[in-house]
Amino acid sequence: MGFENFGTVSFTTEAKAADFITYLEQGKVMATRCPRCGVSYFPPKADCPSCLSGEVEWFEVKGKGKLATYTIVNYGPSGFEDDTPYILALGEFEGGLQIMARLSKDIAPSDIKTGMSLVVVPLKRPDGRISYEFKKG
Amino acid sequence: MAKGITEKPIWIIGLGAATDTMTMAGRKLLTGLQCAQEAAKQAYRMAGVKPQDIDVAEVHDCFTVSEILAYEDLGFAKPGEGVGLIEDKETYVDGKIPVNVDGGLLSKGHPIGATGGSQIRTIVRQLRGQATEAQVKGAEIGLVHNIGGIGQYGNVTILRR
Repeated sequence: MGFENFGTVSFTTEAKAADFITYLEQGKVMATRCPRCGVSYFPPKADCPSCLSGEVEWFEVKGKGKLATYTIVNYGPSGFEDDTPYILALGEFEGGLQIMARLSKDIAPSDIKTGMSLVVVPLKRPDGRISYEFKKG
Repeated sequence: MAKGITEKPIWIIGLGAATDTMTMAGRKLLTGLQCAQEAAKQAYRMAGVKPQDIDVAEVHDCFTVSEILAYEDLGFAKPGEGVGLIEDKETYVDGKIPVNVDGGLLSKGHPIGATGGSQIRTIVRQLRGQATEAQVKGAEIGLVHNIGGIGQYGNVTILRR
């Protein structure tokens, strides 16, 4: 199982970090960490660009993050037109891990404030595709 | 040799190039492009000049905010103060640091690949005094700032007449 069922539009099927999808289907949003230099990655990477090690380890993104910044996408790229408007956000999690994801549609735009508490959760879309998103933490 | 080809040679005195991560979410800096900052540092060092020595510049304004970030990445303004340069009209033809006096990418178009050539041409014409109504008076040193991808590649070129 690769990335063919991931997101609104899948841009790849094969990927070294394909375990991400397996974990996502188990209800876990996972990131990788390089045991050699300690840098964490999300989206997960199977190799470490910082020290070039190929021995990264998986860990679950748990706990609450903070909304660093966001933008409302009214004009989506090709293939994303039916999803607009959606809110793309950047969350800061423990250890300086930065995650980009959509804000859940159940967060009212008037409730959105930078610094607000977030959690990242798997998302099973009505069309059967799988992804992840931020919910209020 | 250049003087045998043209009466007004323009010399490349500084070059800088740097890259950054594909993933934007993981970048350390969200209010600038570190590849551009690093490329600028290299080009200034090679040329032996400082940001305040630049007489005219072309920057990669693929979006409105990109030009403001470029002012800051190139050292024309301090971080967070780029917008003040426009408000004070310092980037206009007769300002302290004229930028994109040919209209920039948002006005003249952005054919990827040809954009960099167009930027070099603009600065060469400036340094040769051939820029007609857009001419920056007495321009001696010019700078070109170009970006690839979404800030994966940064290139800075400094030219002198």
